[in-house]
Parts: sequence; C-alpha cells; structure tokens
Amino acid sequence: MTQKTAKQPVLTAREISLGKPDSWRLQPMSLDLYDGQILAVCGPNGAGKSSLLSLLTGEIKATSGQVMMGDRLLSAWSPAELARNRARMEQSNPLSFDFLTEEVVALGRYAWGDDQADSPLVIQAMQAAGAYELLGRKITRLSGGERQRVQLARVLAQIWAVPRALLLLDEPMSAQDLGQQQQIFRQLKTLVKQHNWSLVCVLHDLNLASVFADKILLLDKGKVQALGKPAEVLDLQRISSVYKAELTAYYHPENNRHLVMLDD
Amino acid sequence: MNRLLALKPAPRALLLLFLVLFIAVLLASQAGTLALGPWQFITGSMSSYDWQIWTAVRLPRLLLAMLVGSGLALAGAAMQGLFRNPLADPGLLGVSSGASLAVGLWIVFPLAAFLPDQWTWQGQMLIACVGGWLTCWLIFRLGQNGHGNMLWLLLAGLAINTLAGAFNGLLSYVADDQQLRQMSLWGMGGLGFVRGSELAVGALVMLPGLFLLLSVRKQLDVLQLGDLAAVDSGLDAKKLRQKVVLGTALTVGVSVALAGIIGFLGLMIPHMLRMILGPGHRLLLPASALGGAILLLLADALARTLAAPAEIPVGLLTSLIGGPYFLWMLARGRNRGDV
Repeated sequence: MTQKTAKQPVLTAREISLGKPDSWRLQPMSLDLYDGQILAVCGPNGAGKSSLLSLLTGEIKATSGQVMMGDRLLSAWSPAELARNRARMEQSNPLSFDFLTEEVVALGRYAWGDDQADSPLVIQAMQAAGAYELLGRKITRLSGGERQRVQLARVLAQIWAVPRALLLLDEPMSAQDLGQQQQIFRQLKTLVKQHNWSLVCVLHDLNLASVFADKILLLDKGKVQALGKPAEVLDLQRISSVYKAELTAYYHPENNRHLVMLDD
Repeated sequence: MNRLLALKPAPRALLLLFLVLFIAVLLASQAGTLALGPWQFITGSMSSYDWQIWTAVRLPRLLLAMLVGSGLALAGAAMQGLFRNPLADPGLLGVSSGASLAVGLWIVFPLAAFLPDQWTWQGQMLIACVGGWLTCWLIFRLGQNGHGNMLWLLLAGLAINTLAGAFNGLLSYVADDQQLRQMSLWGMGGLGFVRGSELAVGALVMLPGLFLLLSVRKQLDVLQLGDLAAVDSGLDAKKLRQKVVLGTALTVGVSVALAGIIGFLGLMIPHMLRMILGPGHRLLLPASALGGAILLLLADALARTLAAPAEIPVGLLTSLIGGPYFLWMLARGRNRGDV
C-alpha cells in the first residue's frame, strides 16, 4: 500500500484513550485510515478490540483524544449523515420477531428512506454478503452463520454505492465456514476497491487477517503492540508472546503472506 | 374484486379489516335489550323514541367501543415493538392499573375539590393519563437494566399490578360511602356509563395518542435491530421511546378513565395479526387498531346479549377470552422456544 499523504484520511484517531493511566482500557493511540484500505484489528480476548471500535464510532466517548471522520469531528456529524456514510455490524444481533431476511436487510436503508424489501439494491447487498439463498426465509429460523450474513447484507445495503464510506465489522466471520469466509471477503474487497470504502474489521483469525487485510492493528491489554502490513505485524515472537501460545510461522511464497499455526 | 386482489398485501389486509369493522358495527348496533337495527335506521321506520335511544345510548357506546378497542390494541402492539417482546401489554405490565390507581387517588383524596363539579371527570381523565404515563416510564426506566427480557417484564408487571391492587384496596378502606360507591361503579368497567360529552373529550385526548403511535410504525421496525444498531442506522431511539410512552399513556389513560380496565386486548390482537400479517409494524399497527375496534365491538355486543336484559361487564368477557389465549401463547412459545 502506497502512503497517500496528500489525501485526507477517511478516519483519523488522535491520541484516543479510555480509562485512567493506572488502569487503561485502551492506552493512547493514533490511527489514520485511508479510502480503499482494509484494516484488521486483532488481539487476544479482552485486548480492547471492541472498545476500540466503540471509540471509533463515537458510541463511547474517549477519555482523551479526538476522532474525526473526513475533515470533521465525529460530534459534528448528524446521526442521519453518519448513517449514510458509515455502517457498523455488531457481534450479535438478536431479532425476536419473525421478520423475513429481505425485510431485515431493507431496514439498513432507513436513513435513505427507500427501505422497500423488494428493491434491487437489497437483493444486490444480499448477493454480496452471501445471503441471497436466504431470501424469503424467516430470520428467527436461521442458523448463527446465516443470520450473520443477513446482518452483513444489511450494513452493506446501508452504505451501498456511497463513495468513501466507512464500514466497521466486529467479528463478521466468526460463524462462517471456510468457503463462505473466502467468498465474502473477496466480495468485500471488491466493494472496498470499487467505491473507495474503508473497512475496519475485528478478526480473531490471524491468517484471515493476513490474507485479506492491508494493515493489521495488533492489540493486547489495551495497548497497540504493532500496526503495519501483515508481514511486519505477524512476527513469530511477537505473536507467540501476545497470545501466549507456541506457534510456527510459515511463509506463503506465492502471495507473499505470512501464516501462523499452532504447535501440537 | 379483481382490483381488490391486485392490491399489494398491505392495503388489501387493511381494506379487509375495514370491511369486517363495518359488519361488526352493523351487528353491534343491532344487539341489546332494545332491538334497534340499522335497517330501521336506513328505511326511516324508526320512531322518535327509538331515535333518541339510538343517538343518546347506542351510538356513543359503539363509538366508545371502537375508540377504546383500537387504543388498547394499538398501545399493546407499540409496546411490544418498543420492548421487542410479544408479551408486553398495557394490562400485563401494569400501565392500566397504574392509571386506575391514579383515578382512585383522585376520587378519594380531595384533589378534585379545587375544581368546579362539572370538571371532575375531565380531571379524572387527565389524572388517568398521568398515572399511565408514570407507570410506563417507570417500567421503561427499570427495564433498561433487564434489557426488556420477557421474564423480567412480566415480573415487573406483576409487581406493579400487585402494588396498585393493594393501594386500591387501601383506598377503598379509607374512602367514605359516597366515594366507595363512585369507585366501585367506575372500577367495574364497561362501556355503558359514558355520556356523549365525556366521549367527545376522551376522543379529543386519545386521538393524538393514536396518531402518535401510528406515526412511529416505521421506526419501530428499525428498533427491532437492537438499540445500538438502530442508532447506527440513523434512528433517534430516545425520541421514539418518548413518543411511544406518551402515546401509550394517552390511549391507555383515556381507555381506563372511560371504560375501566379491559384486559388482554393489547396482547391478543397484535399477536393474532402478527401470525397472519407478519411482524412489520408498518402494517401491524394500523391493523391492530382496526382489529381492536372489531373485537371490542363484538365482545360488547356479546356482553349485552348473553344475559339480557342484564349486562356482563365487557372487561370480564375479554379476560375470559384473553386468559386462555395467553396460556396458549405461553405453551406454544415454550414449545417453539421463542417466547
């Protein structure tokens, strides 16, 4: 990834932190995200990945520091404006009534006012998220992985074809099988390049992050351990110590990616 | 007929419900101690005496049944949407008994003494709305810790109902004879005690509540995604909540003030309609308002005819239908594992 210094970042975090110096939930950190970029946020359980996402969306106010979207502070955006330029997918999203999948996806269009379940846009978003075959099914009768794809389709519909939009996904692949992971990530990558979106994605799977992300942010105990290209971040010693696991690193000679695997 | 079938499902369902409502009005206007049919009305063969009864007694009663029925069912559907829970109901959650406790307080304590006599019942209506609003707000405040889960909601409703019942008992204990008579007369509920002027004021207060609830039908769908996702989608969840709480207080408060506690309507009607029409609030809310009007019209007609010339309180009848329905809902929900 070439550094586009002349360009305005889509998302800027300046020295944001959460908590107090002796008990940080997130230590002060800075971050620039440019359009067309995919950033994977990785780290062990409780590292602060979801907290970081909450800070970046403005859901939680940072103890110190600022978050900007484009050239404006987050607080200067109206909720409706934000909804049309940014979408987030949460980890879990329970729906208690029997909505049809396409109705759920259409809810993503609320901020635009064109929330008809039979619009072509809804269908396109469902195709992109691998949820097209779930059309016409009731959401309450779906498996965890299927629901996850419907929710992904909903957030894609929310910013569909919006240039330079920001997409934040919290563990979007946690319930997907290998084939789905690959298919969905390829689609996401296409969309990101096509519309110059920026994607922040919390991922558990380091190898998935290595294959699909432009940059990886490695968090541990609320502190940034590394931020950079996958090959730089996925250093065997660093990963082993952060995850407290015995690992072996492999180098994929064809796509220039590093992969890690557990030792037995 | 072909035109009707060519309509989209939503307008078709509403049109159908309007038709059923029309038939229910015809049926209900027939029923009663005195057989007063729309047929005599249409053919002009009505005596002036009959005409007086029709306009002074029967018509207000039909209008009241429609007003209260649609208000309670609509409030139920909106609360279920707000709490994301099919068991939320103004009766079960204690909004009705909160409103009724407020009326009890109003009757027993000399608050009304400041008002001229002819204003007491307007005050009663207002105080019922305030009571409903306070209860609604209380449940919502407390419910934020329980995240609106069904067990928590039902327990909170149970607690509020018990408390309101106990206080109402206390009130009747300290009330003097005249107040006691006033309270028990009002507490029996039913649609037969209302004068045209009361109905007019009630409608004036309730209609804004009905419109308020109907106006948030789209937003309630978005809220089903969960608070966080709804806000991310551009919804002002706080404003929505305030609107639903206020709308519920107005509709339930007026219902309680005019007709006493009529249970289970707000639970049954949205549940039945949801099974047929799906859970989308855009259709469910207006359909519930119509369905509630239909059910209460028919239930009241039944209450007038079953033991004629005596009358069964209509609240008793809806509970007799609604109680078993509620049990069936619980059993069915447990089998399916979704309630």
